[in-house]
Amino acid sequence: MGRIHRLDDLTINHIAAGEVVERPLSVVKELVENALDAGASVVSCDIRNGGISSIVVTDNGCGMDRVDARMAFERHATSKLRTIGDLDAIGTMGFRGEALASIASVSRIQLRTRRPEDELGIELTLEAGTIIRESEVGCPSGTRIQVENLFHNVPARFKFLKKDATEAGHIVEFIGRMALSRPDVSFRLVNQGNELLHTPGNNDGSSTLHSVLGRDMARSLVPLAEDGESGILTLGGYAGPPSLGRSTRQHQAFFLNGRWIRSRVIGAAVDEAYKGRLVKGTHPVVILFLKIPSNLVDVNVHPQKLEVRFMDEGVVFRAVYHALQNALAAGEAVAAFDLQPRPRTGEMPGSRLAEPQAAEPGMPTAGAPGEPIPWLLADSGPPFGIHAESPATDEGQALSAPSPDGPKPQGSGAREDAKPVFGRDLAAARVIGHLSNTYLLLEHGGDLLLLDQHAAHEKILYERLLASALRRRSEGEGMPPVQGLLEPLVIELPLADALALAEAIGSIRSMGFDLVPFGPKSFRLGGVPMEVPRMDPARLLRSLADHLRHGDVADPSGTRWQEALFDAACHGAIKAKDALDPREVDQLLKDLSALEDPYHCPHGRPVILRIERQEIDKRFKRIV
Amino acid sequence: MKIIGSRDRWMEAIAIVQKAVPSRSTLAILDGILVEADETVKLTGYDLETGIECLMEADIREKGHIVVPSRMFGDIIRKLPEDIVMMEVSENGQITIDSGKTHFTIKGIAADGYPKIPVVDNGKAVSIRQSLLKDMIRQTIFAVSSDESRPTLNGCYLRCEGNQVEMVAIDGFRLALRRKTVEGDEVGTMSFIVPGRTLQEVVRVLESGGEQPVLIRPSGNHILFDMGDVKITSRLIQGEYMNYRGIIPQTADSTLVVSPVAMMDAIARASLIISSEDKRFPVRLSMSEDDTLVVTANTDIGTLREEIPVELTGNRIDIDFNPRYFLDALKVIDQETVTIAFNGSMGPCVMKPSEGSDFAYLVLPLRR
Repeated sequence: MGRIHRLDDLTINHIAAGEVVERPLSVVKELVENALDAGASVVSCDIRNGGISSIVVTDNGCGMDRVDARMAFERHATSKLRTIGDLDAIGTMGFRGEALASIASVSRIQLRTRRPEDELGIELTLEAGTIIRESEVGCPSGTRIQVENLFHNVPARFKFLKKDATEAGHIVEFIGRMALSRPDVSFRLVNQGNELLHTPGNNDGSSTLHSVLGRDMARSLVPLAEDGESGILTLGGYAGPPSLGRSTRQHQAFFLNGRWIRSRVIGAAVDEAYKGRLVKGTHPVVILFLKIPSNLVDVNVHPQKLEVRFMDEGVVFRAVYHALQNALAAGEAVAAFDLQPRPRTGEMPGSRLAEPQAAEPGMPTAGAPGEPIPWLLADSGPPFGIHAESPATDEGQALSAPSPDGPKPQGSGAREDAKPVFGRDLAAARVIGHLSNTYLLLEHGGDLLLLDQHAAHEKILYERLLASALRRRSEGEGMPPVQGLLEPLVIELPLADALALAEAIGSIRSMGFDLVPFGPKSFRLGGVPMEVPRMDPARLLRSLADHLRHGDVADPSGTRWQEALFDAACHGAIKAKDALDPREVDQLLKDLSALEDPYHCPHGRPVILRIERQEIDKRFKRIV
Repeated sequence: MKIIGSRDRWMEAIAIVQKAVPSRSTLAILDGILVEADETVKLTGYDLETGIECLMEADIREKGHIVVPSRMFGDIIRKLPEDIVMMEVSENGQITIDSGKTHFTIKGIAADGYPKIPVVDNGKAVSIRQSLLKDMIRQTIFAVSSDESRPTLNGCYLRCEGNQVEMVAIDGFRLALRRKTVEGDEVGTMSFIVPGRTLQEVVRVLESGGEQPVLIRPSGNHILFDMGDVKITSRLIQGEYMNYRGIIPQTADSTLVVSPVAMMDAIARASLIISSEDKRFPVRLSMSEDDTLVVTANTDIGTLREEIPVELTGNRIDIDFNPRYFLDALKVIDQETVTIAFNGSMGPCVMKPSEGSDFAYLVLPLRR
């Protein structure tokens, strides 16, 4: 008896389903892509329980006749590909012919479809991949597919499904991305009977942006100039200002020929373009649409077609990098002065508004063209000899602060003493000036200290809130008193953010934020904790949503959660007056030096920078 | 230019206009004071947001204009030995300052480059007594918001309707409203948002007992406070002000009549133990008898309990407040008694005069 035997079709489809159909999102993705391939101008998606109990996708596309409808559920059956040669020039979203068969094998499907030219449509019902009923029905032209009880026959998968809201969140993100990529198609998403998203489909990119991202975010995005490169690549999209930096990459979406993709090359180009403009640990909001002739890109490298292979990565990198650079410069979204070292590109601070003399795109680590400014390229040492005052080794490095415990920089500004901490005697530093009402200039032990007053204030506030919350908890006190607002604020957020917040709303409320949902994308804030003073609530909620979606706060009752919330709250906190009076400065320094780590604000940005006397002397050629 | 004046007059005038001289300006000429001698002597300080002009008594021997470095000019005048000061400007911009046997020669800057303060005059004007305007500003300005994300709340809303002038400040958590009937012709309805910073300067110049009128002239983007010898011009904050009228409740669950001084003292005493380094506590207002209000603070430092005699109408109260919000309002109430209306532990609390409707301070309670 041979041990090896051929698997039956159902098993094969089950296995394939494992690859293609991972979660409800996969189903939605396949069905929506099919709808678009069928030429639909209206696509509607209705989900229940995060798509686990039901997904209905309806389109007004070309529909199918009886034979095609039956054939559609066969494995490797597709209308999108005929010969192997077609694979080299794939213009449709799908092509592998696996999806429907796979989905059918793990769910119950009802299909209703009619071609515009037919009088009657056809209805098929499938159970575990087998057609169990077939009849003629009257129905609108187009296709409606209902997928129910997903994974009911695959307990292993079913077990690993996340909460309904999480699955719904993925679907929301996906439909949002599709809507952005196809402003000519009207998308509608309904969850549990509530309409979450509805785009006009009027081919107007900005109104689509509005529907998907919400008013506030849509407004702040800078459109990229329509600008192809050497005819083979067309690039469009939107660049978020650096100030809109988010803590995850979830707000970056790249579309290639209308399909959402992940791409390391594009990601790297985005990072390079924003380099030095963003607060550490944040990622810009970027939406990019690339069009490349399909023979110059291989999309058949990933079962879900998420990853692609470009024939010429350098061209893509260059195009993305330059388009973003130009948009940023044009949008004046650039910080005027930048202390970050840019040894890779050799760019001078201040020169960035000019056409960037960037590193060879495609190989961002290569040496820089152009005449480097010698002191900026103080090889291993940071330009300006600026050190983020840091007792730890990790965070400061991005700011080019040489790690005090690590190897000493050989370049300028190397500090002899390995102890950067001046801790308690910070209050004794002499205030010698105030730069742009933003930085305090302090003299300390002959060196010049630059103190970011906003970051300092944020840090103090954060520590204070956290300490008080911890004490409240240990003393078993309830929630903090809530200070009501005279007029509730209505805050609109991008849909996915709103869903994440809605899920955690109980915990947010228990911390003293009187927040209630107010429509699918909006919240109403009626009060804030007494301990959180002035703040910008929209920023607070955005920042909080990032934390939530990032998953760093799985347990909304834990300390991590509080940290995230206060972090967000402080982020939103506004320094009352920019021009500090001497007493305020004293208080600030006193409060700051009482902290254990006064060197970083809660977001990892430095609070204090030090420019050494030796370094200044050197610049003035007093010493060599 | 040649003028002879009194050192004390100079000092007063310089001190007034220096408020509008920016300490660090990107435009060097703004760091100076513009001195103009035509029919009268006029000093000007202007930071492009707020401009202050001050007329000064002096004997004009020769007309002319010059810009003098602000701080140094002030210091020189203050240090002069005699009260009689002679200032002369030569053709090439050299300024000579003579007093007694002291003889300074300093460099001035030609006045041509000094930016013009916008002229505000479209015929409309509201006239208010100096002392009254000063009170109105003092009694509202504390509630001006410093939250830059809502710029319209960074100023006081000034609304004139008929003979009524109303000034309002809101910071999102509380509201301060002052209302007064003014003498003179009706001005029609107009409203504008004046930056809090400008009003701070206006208050400094206004005299407490001043019976002189202030003319307030608004235009589309600017406002002029004309106090005779001193004129302050400022940019207005553009935008829609919050619709505050709907926020002030007209009914109340409980009404207390109380001495603002007694209440302020009690809350101030409570604040002594409330203001801890890293934790804030509410002050509690409660009643166990109809004629006594109990102010309590219970913090990790200790407790305070104080009783205040009151007259109650309606239900007894038991509500928490942010002590600061209460104090700020009580401090500026000049009446012997004040009526405080409460609307449960969530609804807004309003302090009003026992008679009339000259002011209203609205504070939202802290929800437990």
